[in-house]
Amino acid sequence: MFKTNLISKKQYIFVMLLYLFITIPLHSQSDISSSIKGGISGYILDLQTKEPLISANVLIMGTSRGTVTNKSGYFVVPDIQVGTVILRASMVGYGTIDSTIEVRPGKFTSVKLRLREAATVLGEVVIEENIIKDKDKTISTISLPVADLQKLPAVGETDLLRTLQLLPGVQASSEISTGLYIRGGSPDQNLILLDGITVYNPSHFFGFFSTFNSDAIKNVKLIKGGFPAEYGGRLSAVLDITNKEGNRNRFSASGSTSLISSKLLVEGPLGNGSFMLSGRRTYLDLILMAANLKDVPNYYFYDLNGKINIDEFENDKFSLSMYAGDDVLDFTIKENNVARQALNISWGNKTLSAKWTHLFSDQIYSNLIVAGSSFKSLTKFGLSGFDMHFDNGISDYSIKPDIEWYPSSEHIVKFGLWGTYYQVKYNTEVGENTGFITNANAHSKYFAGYAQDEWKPNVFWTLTSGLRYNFYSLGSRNYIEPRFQALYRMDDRWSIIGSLGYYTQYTTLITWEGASFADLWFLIDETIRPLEAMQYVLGIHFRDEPFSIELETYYKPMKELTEFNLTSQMDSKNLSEIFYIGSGYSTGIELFIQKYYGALTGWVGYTLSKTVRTFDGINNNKTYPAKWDFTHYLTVTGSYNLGSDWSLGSTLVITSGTTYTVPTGTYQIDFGGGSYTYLRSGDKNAHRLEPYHRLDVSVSKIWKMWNGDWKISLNVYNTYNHRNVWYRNYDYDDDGEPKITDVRLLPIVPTLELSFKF
Amino acid sequence: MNKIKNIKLLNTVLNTILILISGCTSVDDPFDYKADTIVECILYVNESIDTLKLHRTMPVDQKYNKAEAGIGNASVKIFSVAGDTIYMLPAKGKPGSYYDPTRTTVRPATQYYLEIDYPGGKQITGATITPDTFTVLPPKYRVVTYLYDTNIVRWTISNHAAAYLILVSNIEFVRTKIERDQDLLPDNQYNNKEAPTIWTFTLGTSTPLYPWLYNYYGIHEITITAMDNNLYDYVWTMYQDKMRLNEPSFHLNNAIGFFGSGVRRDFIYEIQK
Repeated sequence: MFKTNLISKKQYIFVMLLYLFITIPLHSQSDISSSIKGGISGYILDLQTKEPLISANVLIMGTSRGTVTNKSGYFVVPDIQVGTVILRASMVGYGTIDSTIEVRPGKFTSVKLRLREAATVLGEVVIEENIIKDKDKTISTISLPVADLQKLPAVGETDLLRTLQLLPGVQASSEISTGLYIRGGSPDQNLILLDGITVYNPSHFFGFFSTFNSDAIKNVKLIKGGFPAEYGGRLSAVLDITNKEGNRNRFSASGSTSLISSKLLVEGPLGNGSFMLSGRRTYLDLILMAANLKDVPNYYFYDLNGKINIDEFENDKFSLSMYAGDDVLDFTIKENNVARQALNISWGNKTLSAKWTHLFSDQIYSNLIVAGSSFKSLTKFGLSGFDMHFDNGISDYSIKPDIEWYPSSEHIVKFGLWGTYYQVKYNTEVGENTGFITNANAHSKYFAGYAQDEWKPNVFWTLTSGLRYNFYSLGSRNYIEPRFQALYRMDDRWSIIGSLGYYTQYTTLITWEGASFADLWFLIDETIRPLEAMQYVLGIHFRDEPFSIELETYYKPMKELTEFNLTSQMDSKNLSEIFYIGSGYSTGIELFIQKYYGALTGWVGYTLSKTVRTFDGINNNKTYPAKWDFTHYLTVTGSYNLGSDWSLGSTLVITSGTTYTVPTGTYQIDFGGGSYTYLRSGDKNAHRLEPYHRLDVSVSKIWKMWNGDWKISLNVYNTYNHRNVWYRNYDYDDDGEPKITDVRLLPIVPTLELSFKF
Repeated sequence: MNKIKNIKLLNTVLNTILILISGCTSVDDPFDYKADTIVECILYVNESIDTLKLHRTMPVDQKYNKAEAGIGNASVKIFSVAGDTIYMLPAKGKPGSYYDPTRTTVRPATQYYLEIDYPGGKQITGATITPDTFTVLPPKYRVVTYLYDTNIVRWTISNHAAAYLILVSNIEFVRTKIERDQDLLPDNQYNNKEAPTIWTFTLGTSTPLYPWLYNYYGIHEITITAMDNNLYDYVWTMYQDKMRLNEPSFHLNNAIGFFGSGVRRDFIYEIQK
């Protein structure tokens, strides 16, 4: 059953099915059995740590034949003429290596190539001139080298999500939030994966920092739109993060300390495999404790990342990955050692995933992920015997088998399954005997199966098409999602790329800016329909080392969107009573200009966009701009190597002002012996605050000491101290006089960070 | 040379974008005044209608003044399915206030309707079903020692009531020296002041009288009000998030505010040190 009017349905499905199930067999006959052809398969690894390298390029020199390594660093190049060939492997941030390989008829030659990290000292990459970038870059996809994260200024410490907010098409609702608003989608519309498992609340410190410890990250891939059939369950984007596996050669440690937190990472060999353990903790609470201050909130967060890899077998590899992080706020006012007023909030994520990769043959690679993820939030408030508690969270238990099949030089076929059991709970109790007790627990099963084929009929075209089937048990929903992507290479430098796809989503989120601990996830129930979107993307890419330019335009209509109804009753059981249901669309043009290497590296990103929503019951049912609708969004980042181990980094952000609602009047209502002043809401988000702009600068110095590499960085956030407006506040003082004020964001914030690596 | 050219080009592009952004994104006039009408009226069972208030909204940048905002020339009619019809009259010296000259007693478990007509405005209508009467059971203590005794108040169910409002009023302000930072904490805008009323609400038929419901020592009056759905919806949604500008739930046509009903019972007890 295909339920949407966003596209013409039956014809499109018919064409997609026909394409998938007729053309794949026709084109997928490998010539490997032919006596005149053979193949090469293998892994690309880091020379020093033996970590598999993701998205490394592999090229048969003298031909146009090549490929890219998968998430395990594995690659296959079939259908090579027998004889001696030179295989070149390369990757951004690494040097290249040429290897002479004998291709034998009817056989695959297995290789392991090791790339040397290019003159790296604590992430300051001096990129070599002969680096080859992946010319087959897929649409709307950005693989962010982790070293780039550490080159840009930061508040306190490097933050992945804040760096992503500097990319075109990725926006922040405000500088206090790490939420990613990607191409008009809200943060809950992004599928955020850490080692294959969903992370539901990727933030610390009320949303100011992300949960991802940059020291532990190996690879980051962001797909801003048009994501392929292997991903699903979200409308907008995919953020796929892979943690480090650990150094297989030797034990090493690295860490850093800043005014906010300290981090430590240890890694090393474990049998034939490896391990990695990384931790981070803030220490504001310890400082306050040492200062012995009374009646001050006590707050900290920590997180732990760990990974174990077992490589005992040639064709089988196992890994176990975990994440645990919590934020804890304790604000207790005591009188004679008795708590008179107490606010305790704790929230955090936990993930655990086990992965088994198996090579059935050189051409068939598989992996199986069994994983669990949970986000829990507990808030307790007590005031002289009156107690409230709010206990909510979401858990999922998933199993995901995937197979990659390289049947011929023209095709890469992927298919797999995805099964998830969801549980959400929302338990509240307000006071004693008040009747305000809610136990809204729900569970659901989600099952998906997908198949996709990347077909390169000739050197000019790459066509990727796929189908994803979804079954969702609440309401017994069935959806088929076609996805299609085409790449046309005009020459070595220019390519045109386009995609379209249909997407559905079965969870939704209520979130408050500055209060991410209170995030409430809901499973779509029988009373409302899953969220739906179509994505259309068209772009032109230009690449001429060391520059690349990408111009993409997109249109994303959405329906069955949800918006929390603030007047819904606490004991509402159905989602149709809790949410307004509506639609919307976002459209825009993105320009992304990058310079990869040289003394000066960085990018310029510009987005011209429009994002609107229409809900029955909001804004008199009229269409209005989304809160995160920014007409213009410009970011400029740069990192300059000053020489003598000094470097300079900077980030400039200029955007349109945030939309806001201007009240049309004020009124008072007398009730319960008091008088309450209200503002009458005008057209929603019809006005804009002043434009936002900010410049951050960092200066770093690296040196060697005690057999280790050291780095000190001075980061200056908001260098020229421009107090951007967060929101306009309309209020009245005790005498009823109006007080209209602009609540402003952070002033200039200098921070210092010291890091080391042994 | 090429580098200088590129930098100049980049500067030109950036300046153009900056001008574009500045020109297209201006802070608009934040006062788009549009007049709306507010109604406040609660019918208490077994009592006559005390007052109905009718006002206009005022511009955001002005101090709200009920006298200035009052609408004094409206025709206000309240009638019930039981046959009662009440024509409310404007109260002299209180712009926007209307009273019932007949002092008609409101009936329990009865549907009442509101109709308001005034020059230049659309007819305002609303309806409420009055809750049934109920009984408050005698509380355990008539004298409560602050922080040591917790009084629990219980009552019988009122039909048609959506929830119960509990108002606690200090009706005898004991003029002794307050022991600040010791007894009534936190020392906020409510505690240790002569504030008259603190309130809470419940869906159940009992409530502990928590210490935070008192703002001082002395004689307190506790009022339990069984609320109809209109009042309860207002109470549940009455706090406005000034960022989202959400407004309370109202159930009137062509106006904001409430036309609700309730049944109230009260008793007195004392808070002592």
